[in-house]
Amino acid sequence: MRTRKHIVLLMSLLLLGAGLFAQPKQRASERIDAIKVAFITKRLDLSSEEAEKFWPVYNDYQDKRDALREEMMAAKRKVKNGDAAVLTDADYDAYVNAELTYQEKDAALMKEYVARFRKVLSKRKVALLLLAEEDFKKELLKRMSDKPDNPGGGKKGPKGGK
Amino acid sequence: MTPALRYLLCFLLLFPTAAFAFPGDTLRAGGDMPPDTTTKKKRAPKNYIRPTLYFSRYGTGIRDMRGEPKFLDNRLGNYGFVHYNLGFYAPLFTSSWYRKDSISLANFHLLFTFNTNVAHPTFVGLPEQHRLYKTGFGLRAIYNTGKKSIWFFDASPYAVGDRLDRGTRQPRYASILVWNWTHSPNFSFRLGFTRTFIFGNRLHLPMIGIRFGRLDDKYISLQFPRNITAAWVVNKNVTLSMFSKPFGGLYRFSNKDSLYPANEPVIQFGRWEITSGFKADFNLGSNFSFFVSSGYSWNNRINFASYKFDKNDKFFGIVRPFYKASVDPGLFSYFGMSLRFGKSKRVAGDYRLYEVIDMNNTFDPGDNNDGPGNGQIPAKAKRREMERLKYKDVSDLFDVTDLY
Repeated sequence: MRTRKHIVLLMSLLLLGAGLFAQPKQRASERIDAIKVAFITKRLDLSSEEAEKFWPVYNDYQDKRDALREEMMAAKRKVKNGDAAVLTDADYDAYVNAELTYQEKDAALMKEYVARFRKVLSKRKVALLLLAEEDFKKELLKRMSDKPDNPGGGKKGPKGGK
Repeated sequence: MTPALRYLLCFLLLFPTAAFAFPGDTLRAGGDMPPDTTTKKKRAPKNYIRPTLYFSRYGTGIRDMRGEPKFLDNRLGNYGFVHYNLGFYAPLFTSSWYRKDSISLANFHLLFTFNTNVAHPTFVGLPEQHRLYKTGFGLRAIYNTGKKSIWFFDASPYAVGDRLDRGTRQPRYASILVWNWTHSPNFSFRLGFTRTFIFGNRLHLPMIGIRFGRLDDKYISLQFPRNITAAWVVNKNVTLSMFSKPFGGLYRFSNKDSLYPANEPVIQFGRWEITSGFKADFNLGSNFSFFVSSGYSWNNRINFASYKFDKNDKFFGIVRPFYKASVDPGLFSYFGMSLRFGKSKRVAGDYRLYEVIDMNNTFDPGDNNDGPGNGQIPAKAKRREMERLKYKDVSDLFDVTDLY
């Protein structure tokens, strides 16, 4: 009975090990979100009261933007990665229309949420938020330039290749 | 270990392998994936709480036991205990809306819960060992007002019984209602009421909790009657903690050994102990985490009660035992794992949602005081983490062409 238990335990550990090593990379977006929180909090010098009200609204804004973007991305993926011989004018047209609709809706969404941010943050901090978002993207792009096989990137290459 | 439990264990260990090994695995040189040409829209997440399946095993060695009356003490012999706990929760419905001020985001979460727990008490003197189970489905509701308050309610009906005798099955009900007031990320206060069996008896207790420190960093939390915890979220992968908490239950126990001399087929077995120790939680990816823990189990109490014996001595339903014993303290081993499924809406930086997640895990389904941990709460990003990001960390995040 004891031997059987040990076999089961050993088998379990082996399977567990296999499970662990087969794990994919941690979902990057979750980690990037946490880093973004630290980045924006520092840039805007958010107080505890401001952060309490700001982050739920900001997260909600980002979730809605993602949902909006996904509507456009479906059409974009088809045109961008599809076989040119198979794609029709209707496919191209669908993507352009989806992109236009997305830009319009995104602008409306931004307007709606900037109005909310203005109730939570000072006018200066709302402006800093927009700048911080852009800078955060630039920081991420900088990391993209660290790609080892990127001739202009990596630690050995010149910085700010983009 | 029963065959069913073995299969369950194997399933739980195989599942992460099967679930996560294949996407992205490729034999093609360079690991390039074929381009994504799907026109199907990816579903936007609807919930803040991710469906979670968790499993744990807790056990102590065989220890000396002293109780009254002596004749039963001699019959039972020394005592040891092991339990296996499997739980699951998933959001059924989530709604969020802005309050009148248009900046306070309130949300309501309704969750389905499932829990099954198999307890293996070992009485060295008994010819056949009992396998006690409790299994149940439940519902819980969490209402985050979008201000400082969060309301939590859990209803956990379940069945208890002894595998030695099918006739021992009986329904039971545990519940908790808690109001939480989050003053700041560093301080929260909880008040509530619980019907619980974790002290080896049917008790109706107040719930009082207080926390100092951030849930995503370092904190000390005192949650009576659930736990006292001091935790340190070292980084995104590791959380270390010291804890002290009661473990216990009131089980149905077949009287085929005639422990209670009267002609009664089923008796009640109550046990509780306080476990104090260290715990290390490891988050390996956003979907999988496991923990290992050890420490000292003390204030071990067990008792047997009979409805006949208890007939005229009921106060708030507390059972009066005909046998009580205390067990010597000893070391315990405790480990477990949890799997989280699907995607959730963003929670980063929103410490009221951290509080919601913490409440959902502190008050675990099934009244076992054995939840899956706070692996869903993102660790506070360290100052230099941005600088440490590498290409591989961001390459999967989004298409470069979208960074205009």
